[in-house]
Amino acid sequence: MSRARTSTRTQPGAVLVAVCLLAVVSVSGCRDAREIESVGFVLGLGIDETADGRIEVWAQVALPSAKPAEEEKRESWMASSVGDTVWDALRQLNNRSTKVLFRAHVRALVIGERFARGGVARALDVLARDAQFRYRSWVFVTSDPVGDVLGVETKQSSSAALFLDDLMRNTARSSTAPRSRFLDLVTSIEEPGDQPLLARVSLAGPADAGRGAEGTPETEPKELRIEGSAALCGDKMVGWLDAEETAMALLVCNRLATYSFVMPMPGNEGGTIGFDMIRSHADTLFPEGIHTGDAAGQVTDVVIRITGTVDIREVLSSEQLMSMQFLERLQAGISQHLETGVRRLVEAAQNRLGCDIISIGECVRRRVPARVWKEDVASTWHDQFRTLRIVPDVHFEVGKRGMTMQSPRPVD
Amino acid sequence: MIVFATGFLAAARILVPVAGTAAWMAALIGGAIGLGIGGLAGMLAGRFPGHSLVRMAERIFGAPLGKLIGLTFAAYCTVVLGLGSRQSVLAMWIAFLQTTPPVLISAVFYALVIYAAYLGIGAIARVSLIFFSLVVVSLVVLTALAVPVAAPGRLLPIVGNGLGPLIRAGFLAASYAGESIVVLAFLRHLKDKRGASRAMATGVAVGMVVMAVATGFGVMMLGVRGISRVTFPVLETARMVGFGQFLERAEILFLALWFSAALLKLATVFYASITSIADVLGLRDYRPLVIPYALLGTALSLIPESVLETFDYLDVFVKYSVWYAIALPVVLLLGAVVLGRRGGDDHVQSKDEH
Repeated sequence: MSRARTSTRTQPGAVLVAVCLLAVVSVSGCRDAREIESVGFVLGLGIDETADGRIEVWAQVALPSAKPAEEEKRESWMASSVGDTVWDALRQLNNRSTKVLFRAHVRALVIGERFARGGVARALDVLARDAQFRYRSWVFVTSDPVGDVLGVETKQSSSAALFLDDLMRNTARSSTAPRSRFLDLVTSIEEPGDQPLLARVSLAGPADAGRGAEGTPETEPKELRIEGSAALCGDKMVGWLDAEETAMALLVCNRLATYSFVMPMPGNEGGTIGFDMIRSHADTLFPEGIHTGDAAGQVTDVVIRITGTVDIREVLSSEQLMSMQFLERLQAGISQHLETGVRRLVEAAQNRLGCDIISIGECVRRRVPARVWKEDVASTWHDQFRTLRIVPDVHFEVGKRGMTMQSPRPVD
Repeated sequence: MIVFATGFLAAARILVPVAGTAAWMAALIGGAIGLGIGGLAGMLAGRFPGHSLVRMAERIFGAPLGKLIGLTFAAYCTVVLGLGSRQSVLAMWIAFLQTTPPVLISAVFYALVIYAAYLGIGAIARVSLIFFSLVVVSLVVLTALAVPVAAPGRLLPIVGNGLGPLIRAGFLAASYAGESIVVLAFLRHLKDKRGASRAMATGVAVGMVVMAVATGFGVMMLGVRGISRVTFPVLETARMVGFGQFLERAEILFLALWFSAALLKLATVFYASITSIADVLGLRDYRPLVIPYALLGTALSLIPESVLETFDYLDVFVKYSVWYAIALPVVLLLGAVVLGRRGGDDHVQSKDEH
C-alpha cells in the first residue's frame, strides 16, 4: 500500500522530466540551426543609384578560413544586385548568396554620390528597421564607383570595409573627415538645425595618397583615402566640403579632436610653420538675443567664438620665435589664419550649400521653448540660416614648442 | 524591480512625445508621486499588520465590498501581468528571437512564472535580491559605456515642451511607480512591518531613478525624434554601446539580466494576483489557482494581435492606471480612519507562512 502511494507521488515528477526531455528535443532550435560556415558576415555595404534610377547594392562578405596563414585564399568576396528599392536589392542579394547574409558586423556603409543626392532616407528605413544592423557602423559617401571602393585590396586589412573601419578608429584623428556613424546620420537628418556631414572616401593612386612615389606605373592598384565630407540638407546631399572646410566645420561644432595645419610664417622672414591643434572650444553667441513673440525664434546676428591651443611641430624659417613680441604676433597670425578658414566655411554653408551644417540651428533649438522651435522656427530654418550675419571670432594661443627651442642649423 | 523591470523598456517612447527633452524629469516627478502612493500604502500596511489587501478591505468595508475591492486589485494585477509579459515577449521576439513563435516565448515565460509562484514569495524575494544588484550593476556599466555616445545638449531646453506637458508626463510616469501597490498583497510577510513605508519608498525611488537615467540617456543618444520612433528605446541604447573592438554586441549580456528581472517582476505580480483571488474566494491555499490563472494570463497577453495594438493598450493603461494606484490606498486608508478600523491577527495563512 505504502509503495503504491509512493509510486503515485513520483508520477508528477516523471511527467515533468518527460515534458522537459520532449521540450529539449522539440524546441532546441536544432532543426533550423545555422552553422557558422553557412553564415556570411557582411563587413561592408554599398548603395548607389544606377543611371536608370534603380538601386544597386553591394555586400562585402568575410570568408573566414580555417587556415589564417593561407595567403592564396581570398578573405572576402563581394556581390552586388540591382532592385527597385534598397530592400528589393538586398532581398535579391540574399537569394544569390549561398550563405545567409548576417548584417550585424557591417563596419562601413558606402553610399554613392548619385544615391546621396537623391536622398539617403531611402536606405535609412530598411537599415533602421533591421534588428541586425548596428547604429555604430561608419557611413561614407563617395564620388567614385561604390563597387570599386569596396573592391580595393589593401595589404593592411583583409577587406576594404575593415580598412575603412581601422582608418576611422585610428587615423581619423587628423580630423579632415567627420567620424560619421549611422547613429549621427539618423539623428541629424531629422533636425534642420543640425545637418549631417558624412565622411568622403575616394580612390587615390599611390602617388596621390603617399606623395612622392615618383615613377609609379599607372597600373598600380588604387588606395582608399578618407578626406573631406559630403554635406546633406535633410536627407539629400547638396555638395562636398574639402578637407580644410570639413576641419573648420568640425571645429565650429566642437567635434574636432586634433587638427594639423601648416601656414606661412607671419612677418617678413618667410618660411612656414606647422602646428597640431590640441584643444579647441567653440561657443555660438547671439549678441542681439533670439526674438520671441511675433518674430518667434528670429535670429539676425551670430558670433562664433573659438578659443584653443596649438603646439608648434615644425619651424622652417629664419624666424625662431624667441621674443614675446613675435610670439604674440604669431598667435594673432594663427587666429587670423583659422578665422579665414571659418569665414570660407560660413560662406560655403550659407551660399554654396544653403544648409546649416555648422549647427547654429541646434544652438537656437536649445535656447528657445520646444514649442516655438517646433512650430515657428524649424520649418523655415534653412531660409533663415542663409540670411544670418555670422561673425567668427577666433583666439588661439601657442602651447608647447617641442624638445628644442630653436631649429638645429649649420653656422651661417 | 516591480517599478522598472518591464516599464523601462518602452517608458521613454511614451514620455518623450509628451514632455520632450524633459522626459527624464517627468520620470522623477512620477517617482515623487509614486513616493506618495508608496507612503500611503505603507501607512495602510502599518495599520493592518499581518493582513493581505483583501483582508484589509474586508475588515474596513465588510466582506462584500472588501471582496469587490480585492477583485479590482486582482484585475489590476492581471493587466500589469498581461501587458508586462507581452512587452517582454515582444522585445525578445522582435530584437532577438525573430524566427521563434511568440506563443512559445510566452509559454516559456509563464512556465518559469508558474514555477516561481509554486515556490512562493520567499523564493522570489531571495532570487530578486541576487538579481537586483546584478541589474543595477549592468545599468551602471551601460551608463558608463553610453557616455561617449551621448550628447548632453540634446537634453535642452531643460523644461522640454513646457511645464504643463511635463506634469502630464509626470503622471504618466507615476503609473509605473504606482505598480508598487502590488506589494500590498504580500507586505504581511515582511519581518519588520513598521518598515513597510520605508521599504516601498526605497523601491519606488530606486526604480524611478533607473527609469529617469534610461530615459535621459535615450534622449542624449537618439534625440527626441529618434526616441519617439524606436520600438524599444532601452534596447536601442544597449545596442549602441560598446567598448573598443573587443566588447561589441554586448547588449545580450544586459538583456539576459533585464529579462530575468522582468521574469521576477511578473512572477511577483502573478503571485499577488492569485493570492488575492484566493483570499476573495476564501481558499486556504492559492496553488490550485496557479495553472488556471497562468492559462488566463497567457491568453490575455496574446489579445493584442500586433505591436501597435500592444502599445495602444499600454498607452491607455499608463494614462489611467495611476488614478487607480492613488485611489486604492487613499480609499482604504480613509475608510479605516473614518470607520476607526485597525488590524489584528489575520488567520488566513498562505503557503509561505506554512
